[in-house]
Amino acid sequence: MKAMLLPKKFFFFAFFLSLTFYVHSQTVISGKINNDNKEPLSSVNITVSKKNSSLILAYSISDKNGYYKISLQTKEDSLLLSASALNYEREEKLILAISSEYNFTLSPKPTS
Amino acid sequence: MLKKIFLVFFIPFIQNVSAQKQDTCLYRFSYLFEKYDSLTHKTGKDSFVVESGYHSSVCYSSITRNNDTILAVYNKKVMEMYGDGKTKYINLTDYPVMAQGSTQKVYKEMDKNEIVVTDKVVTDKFFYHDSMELFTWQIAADTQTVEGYSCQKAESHFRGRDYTAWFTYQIPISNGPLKFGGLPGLICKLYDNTKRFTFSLISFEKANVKDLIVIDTTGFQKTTRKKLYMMRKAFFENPMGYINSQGNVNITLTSGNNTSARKYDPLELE
Repeated sequence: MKAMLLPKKFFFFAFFLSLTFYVHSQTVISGKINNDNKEPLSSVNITVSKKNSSLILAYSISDKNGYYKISLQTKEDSLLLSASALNYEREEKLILAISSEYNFTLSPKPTS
Repeated sequence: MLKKIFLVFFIPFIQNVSAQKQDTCLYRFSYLFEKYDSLTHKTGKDSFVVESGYHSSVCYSSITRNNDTILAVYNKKVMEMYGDGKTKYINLTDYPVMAQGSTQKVYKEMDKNEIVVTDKVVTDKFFYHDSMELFTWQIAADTQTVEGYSCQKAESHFRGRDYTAWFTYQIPISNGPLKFGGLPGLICKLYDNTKRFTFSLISFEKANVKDLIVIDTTGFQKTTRKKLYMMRKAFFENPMGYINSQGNVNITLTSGNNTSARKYDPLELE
């Protein structure tokens, strides 16, 4: 009888373990920002938002070597990843909401 | 040969002498700062200007800057009046009464991830270093239009107070008044949860081509944030005691009570 109970308990436990795993699954988006001359760009705002919204869900600011990393939890299938900096053209990418690497190359805005 | 030696000798020397760093000022924006005193029900006002460049920025009180310009003129006048070497006392009533602004100047060096703050306690000048990673912003889904910019809400605790910031993605400058920043856009409105301190963006403009940001700590004594906090606290709570304990100057009051103790309630409590 006891031998029968063990697997039941185990499945019960495994079920809850998988549930917590599902709830806490994190998407990690990282990458590097360069300018046209392949030089790293720092202080670039990288934001993640829903497809048709400007509302920011998570963000990062590129470091002095141009790297960024964003961790977020989301139910969305796809996300809008944007890179913006002063005097540079804003770049946007529609991405799948899975952990991946995305690099950007920003072009300077024409001086007015 | 001699010329070469001469050059090699002087190049490192020149670099050492200038404790200055320069950057081109690209944008200039300003905030109205309001400090509400719950005891007197009065609102004190100041105006902070931020000059933002490629890899650095500076924030200062425009009231203090204007005062300094006016004071320089009066200092010259007073020197002409008393500068004969015989007079040992300067009459403070020779100076105009002016609104007081913050004596703090906050320099941010984004490339070094460092903040340099210069400040004054009476006439003593100090500077200290601080980190740029001071905030753990939690972004909310609330939105609001501030000064025509679409803003989103973010909250963070900072040294004893809880703050709400409204930032805009429309201006991709990760900056704000004083030490505040680190959001994916310019801070347009900022206040602590008791609404004691409020910063409101009132202007944003492109700077003139030739404007420079100069980080200069020449003539400032190096200290730490904690030490400066203690000195300012001592001065606020007992101005006369503080000044006389410094030993350089003696102040005699003939009238007025504007040097009486005030409650020291700075933005940063820790």
